[in-house]
Amino acid sequence: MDTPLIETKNLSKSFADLQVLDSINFSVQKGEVVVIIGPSGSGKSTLLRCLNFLEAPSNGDVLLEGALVGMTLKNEVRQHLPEKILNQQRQKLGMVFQHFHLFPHLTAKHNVSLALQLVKKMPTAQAYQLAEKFLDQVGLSDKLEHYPQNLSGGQQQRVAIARALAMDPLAILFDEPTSALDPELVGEVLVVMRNLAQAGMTMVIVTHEMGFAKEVAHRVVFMDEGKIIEQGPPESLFNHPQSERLKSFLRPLS
Amino acid sequence: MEEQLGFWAFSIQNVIPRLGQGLVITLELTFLSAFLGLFLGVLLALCRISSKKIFSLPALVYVTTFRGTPLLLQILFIYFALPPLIQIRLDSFPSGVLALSLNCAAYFAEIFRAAIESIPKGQMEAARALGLSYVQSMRKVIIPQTYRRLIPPIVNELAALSKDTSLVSVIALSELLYVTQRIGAKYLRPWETYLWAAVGYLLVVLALTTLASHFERQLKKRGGV
Repeated sequence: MDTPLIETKNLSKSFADLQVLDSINFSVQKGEVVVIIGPSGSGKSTLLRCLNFLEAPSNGDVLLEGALVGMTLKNEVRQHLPEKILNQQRQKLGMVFQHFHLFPHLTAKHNVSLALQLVKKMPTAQAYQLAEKFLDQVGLSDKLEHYPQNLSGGQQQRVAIARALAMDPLAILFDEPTSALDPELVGEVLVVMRNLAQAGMTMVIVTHEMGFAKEVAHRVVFMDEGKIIEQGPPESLFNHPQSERLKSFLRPLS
Repeated sequence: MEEQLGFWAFSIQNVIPRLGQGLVITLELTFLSAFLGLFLGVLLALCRISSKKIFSLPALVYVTTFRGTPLLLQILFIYFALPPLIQIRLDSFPSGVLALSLNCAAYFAEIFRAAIESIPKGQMEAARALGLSYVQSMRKVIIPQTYRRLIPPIVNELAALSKDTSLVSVIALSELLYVTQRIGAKYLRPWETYLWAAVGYLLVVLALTTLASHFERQLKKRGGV
C-alpha cells in the first residue's frame, strides 16, 4: 500500500483534565472520502483540527505525505516547527468550518483570492481569475462582489469551499459543514461536496448527514469517547454494526 | 476710570483673538499627542495580546501605571521630576505632548486590545488554516474588521484628550485654559473669558464627533463590518 496522504499515529489530545483524543491511529489514502460520525463530544472535530495543527496534539504524530506536521524530531525529541514551515504545511490541507468563518470585510471574490495573493504570492489579476473560476465551480459566479452578510448560509459555505479549493490542497477537511444551515440550504452544499468527491478530491468529513455519508463515503469512521470504535465501508457499517455503541448510536436513525 | 466695554466689544477686542491663539496651541497639543498616542497604543495593544510574557507583561505594567495615576501628576512628573533624574530639561510644550501622548497611549491600547479580542476566534483560525502567518492574519483579516467598531471609543478618547490638554496649563503652557486664566485676571472679567473658553473646547469636540460620524458613514457605505 502507498504511503497514506494523511496519517495519525497514537494521536492524543487533552484539554486540562479532559482527554478528548485517545491514541488515534487513522489514515486517509489519496482520493479517499472518509466520513467521521459519532456523538457530540466524541472528539471528531478535535481530530480534524489536529490534522492541520489548529490544535497541537498532546501526544503522538500527524503525518502528511509521510512527513510530520508541525513537529520535527531532533535527537528523538519532538520540537515544534517554526511558524513559516507550519504555514507551508497548512496550505496543503483545506479546511471548511461549521460556521463558515468567511472574512466579513471582504467580498466573496476577495475571500477566495486573499490567500492566493498573500500565501501563494500570486499576481492580483491571476488571483482574481482563479477566484472567479472556483466561485463559478460552486455555482456563485453571480455573487463575486457580494459581502458575506448579503449571502445565505448555504452560499457562504459554498464560498468557504471555493476558498479552500483555490489553494489547490491535497485534501479538504470539513468540520460539520451543514450543521449551522437551515434545512432547505443543506442540499446545495452537499451537491458541491458530492461533485468534489466524484472529481476525486480527498476529503475528510465530520457530519451528522447519514444519508450523505452512505452515498458518498468510501469509508465511515465511528468515534466515541476519543477513540475509533469501528470503521469500514458505509454499507457494512450502517447495515451490520458490530459494536454495541454504534448500534445504539444508529438506532434512532432506523 | 476707563469706561467699561460691552460684552461683545470686550469679547471681540480683548478675548477672542487671544483665546484663538490659545486654541491653536490646544489643537496642536491634541493632534500631536493623539498621533503619537495612537501609534504607541497600537504597539502596546499588540504586545498586550501576545502570548509571550516578555511582550505582554511590560505592556500590562505600562497600561496599569498610566491609567492608574492622575494625568496631572504625570505632567508635573515629566516637567519637574524628570530633569534632575535624566539631566534633560524639556520645555513646557514637548513636556505636555510627551505626558499627554504617553497617557492616552495607555487608553488607546486598551481600546485596540478590546476591539481585536472582540473578533471571533474562528477568523484567526480560518486565516491560519489557509496558510497565512500570524502577522498577515492580523494585518489583513483581524485588524481591518476592527475599524468600524474602533471609531466610537477612539472619538471618545480624542474628545477626552482635547479637554485634558487644559491640564498642561499647570506648566505654564499657553494653551486655551492658561490664556483664559491670564486674560480673566488681567481685565478682572472672568465671566466673558471663561465663557469663550468653554465655547472653544466645545467647538473642538463637536468638530471631532462630526468628523467621526462622517467616517463611520463612509465605512458603512463600503459594506465593511
